[in-house]
Amino acid sequence: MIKNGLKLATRLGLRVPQRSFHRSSILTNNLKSTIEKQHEQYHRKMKNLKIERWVFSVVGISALGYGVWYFYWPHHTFPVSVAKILRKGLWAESNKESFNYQKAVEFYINALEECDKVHMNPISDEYTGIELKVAEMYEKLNMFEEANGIYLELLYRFYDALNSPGKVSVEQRPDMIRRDLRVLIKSLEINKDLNVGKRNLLAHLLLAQEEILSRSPELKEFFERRKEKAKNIFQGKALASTDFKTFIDEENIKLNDGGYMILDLQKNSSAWEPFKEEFFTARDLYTAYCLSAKDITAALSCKMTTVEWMVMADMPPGQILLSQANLGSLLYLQGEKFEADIYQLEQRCGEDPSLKKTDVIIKSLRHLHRNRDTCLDMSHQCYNSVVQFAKRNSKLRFNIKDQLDPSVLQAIALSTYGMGVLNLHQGVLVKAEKLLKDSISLARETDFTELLKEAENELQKTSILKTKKQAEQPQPN
Amino acid sequence: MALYTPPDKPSSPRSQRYEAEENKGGNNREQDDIKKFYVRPSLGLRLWGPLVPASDNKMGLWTLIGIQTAIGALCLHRVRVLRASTKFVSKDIANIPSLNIFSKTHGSMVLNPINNSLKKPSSSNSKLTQFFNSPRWSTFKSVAYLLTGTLLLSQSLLEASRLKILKYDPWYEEARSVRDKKFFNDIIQFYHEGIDPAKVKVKDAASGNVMSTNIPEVKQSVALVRAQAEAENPIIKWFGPIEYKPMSFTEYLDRMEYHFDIYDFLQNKRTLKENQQQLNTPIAHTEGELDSIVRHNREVREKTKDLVKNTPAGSIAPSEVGSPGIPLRGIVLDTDQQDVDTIDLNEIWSLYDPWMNLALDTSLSIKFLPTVMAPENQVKQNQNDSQDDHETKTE
Repeated sequence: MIKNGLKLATRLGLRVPQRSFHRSSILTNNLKSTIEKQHEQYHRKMKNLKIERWVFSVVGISALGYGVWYFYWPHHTFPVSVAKILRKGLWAESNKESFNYQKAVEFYINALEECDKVHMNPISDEYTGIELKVAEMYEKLNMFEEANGIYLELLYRFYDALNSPGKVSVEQRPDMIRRDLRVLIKSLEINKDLNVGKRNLLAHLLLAQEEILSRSPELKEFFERRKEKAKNIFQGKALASTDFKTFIDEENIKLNDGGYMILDLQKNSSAWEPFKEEFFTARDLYTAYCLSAKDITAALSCKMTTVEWMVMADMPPGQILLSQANLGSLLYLQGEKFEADIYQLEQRCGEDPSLKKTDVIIKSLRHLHRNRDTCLDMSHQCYNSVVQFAKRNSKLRFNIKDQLDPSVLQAIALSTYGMGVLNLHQGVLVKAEKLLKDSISLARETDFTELLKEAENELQKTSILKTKKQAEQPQPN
Repeated sequence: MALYTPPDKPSSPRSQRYEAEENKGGNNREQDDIKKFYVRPSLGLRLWGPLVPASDNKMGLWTLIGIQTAIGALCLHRVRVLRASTKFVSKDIANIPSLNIFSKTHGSMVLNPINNSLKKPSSSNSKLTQFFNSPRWSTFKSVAYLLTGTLLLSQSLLEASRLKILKYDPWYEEARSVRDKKFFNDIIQFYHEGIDPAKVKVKDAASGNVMSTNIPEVKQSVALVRAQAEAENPIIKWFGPIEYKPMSFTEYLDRMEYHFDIYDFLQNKRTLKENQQQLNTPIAHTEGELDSIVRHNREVREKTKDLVKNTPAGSIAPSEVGSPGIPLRGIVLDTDQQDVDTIDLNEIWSLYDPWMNLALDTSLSIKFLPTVMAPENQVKQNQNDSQDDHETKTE
């Protein structure tokens, strides 16, 4: 209370001198000076406040401006000297000079040299982009060897950059791996040296795989599961076809309300982004490399993993279907290989009947027979899963032509064809004939010419066998 | 390829049309969406509740951080002002003459330098206003402001460091990938929805004739444009696909921890590999190989320059140059572009981006076609039992 009273008194006291200014005395003058001081202080404070506000708004506006600039200004900028040469190159390459690649390539080479002069980062988008341009021009001028030289240099440079710690920041790595894989695929298309190609494929695929592993606990689980499985096999538990499962079902391939196949938003497949397309293409190329080296086992195990990973990565459904069908083909090839082995062994036994009784031969024959049956059965499962899925799904069954992704239809055609081949192989000729005819009509619809050719060949084989069989059959009467 | 032009107003952006269409019959759908909506995650923007943008919307996140920081700063500023107003200047009574005319006693009293003239005499106020005028209330106020300000600023700092310091952010990656997937799904949906010929007319870019809307290419491009319009929808741009559920905070932390573990492991492995490179059999290219290729490429460049200078135009690959049509992905500049130096390099470069061209080149679809082989043939040949055709997908 006392304090309050004092405050009140002060307040009143302060007002007094303002009102009765003329009654000046030393005392009031004193008081006035105090008040003036206080006012001055107050004004100074207000001034400070104003400046503060100014500073705040200037900082705010500049931050906003920076943000807008950052988001909208193109970051793809070349140094002025390089840009000048590039414009000339683009001009020469365009319709303005009727696509004069010969002139353009010189400009692009000059631009590259200018980049070296200004010490541009050799793994930057700009630098590598110009290199790609040069390679593109080489290709247009039919200088494929020279173009491949550039692709290889790029490939090795990316690999070294990605493999030296600290050179590429974590958030840039996925994009760089995507570029690396693109260059890899391109160089494999031109490359003639199989061994170098395979080595590069393995090294760069491993790099991409490590990147995925670093972001995907699911992939680690996959590896642990596989380790467990390998241990089981090591302990002597044989791999039966019942262990094998296909991935084409409604659980793995999501359908939208209209019944069309879509991607599952809820499945977290971000670890595979953004390079999953390139990654799986490269893996398929590796499978093809293994096949051309006649290593069906390696091709098979690679493809089996690929299909499972494609599901994990939530690839477009058409790709998964096609991959599953391709796996069926590889399994069939493996089955046929076992059959060839059986044939070889039996031939040897035919030459030397005593062999037939040895334990080793009996055991290995039994083993081979079982493996062949398993492979063919698994192959049938692969093809069948695709065909059955297409039958269950009304949109695929009735609107088969109306698919955005051609690989859906191709996968179904390939699976139908594969079923036909399996039946032909087992001698079920009527069924084989029907399936092959189905696949031919499907292949016609998608312009799947390669399949069309093969299917017609197989159909011919079937009809030859059929007439042979009919001729052999004892005629009634 | 066909170019789409809207039927009546050529200048009106199609996105609006479709939005308008969807809004008409979309009330039920909207309700469903709201039911399914999950609050977007963040570290320091939780106070915003359902307004938090998708984690890949950096612009939105920064905007909210900016606003939050501004509010926080304002709070702290209020604290300063409040404190200045409640800061009583303590003075010796002896120095204030009007109170001390007849006395020689000393003692301290407090003065309020700012609010003196503003305050009404306390006698006329009720108890409640008295409370609001009391120093206790202003202390409480300033403490509250202080706490709010600090909280907001620290939260902003947290979120800002998430965006700036974290190199790997599972929420961001998830949101980005979901956005891409949604785009794919939209294209599928719009493609199969088809085009209503009454609403949309498609014209050939070259001849201007109206094209049938049942041609797959036309359906494709219209679906693509509609999906792009859907992605540009402000709500989807802000929140990402509405119906997806972001991962939980625990999973976020788990993934982050996992990433750091594996990343460290891989980095160590790479460092080791670098040190031991000479010992191991090469699994990748060797340094010598790279050097020789670099040297080779340099020579090739010089040679090419010489070659190009000394041969007449079109002599190296005569098939391409001068042929009447436009080659595949050939650069076409505007007719009114007259001067080399006026080319908008950024635009043309990104339109004909070499990396994009490479992506189109490397999009392969590989199929394996088995054929039936009699075992005796297979033993003999043991080759050509498969045909892997590398067929480039054409869009």
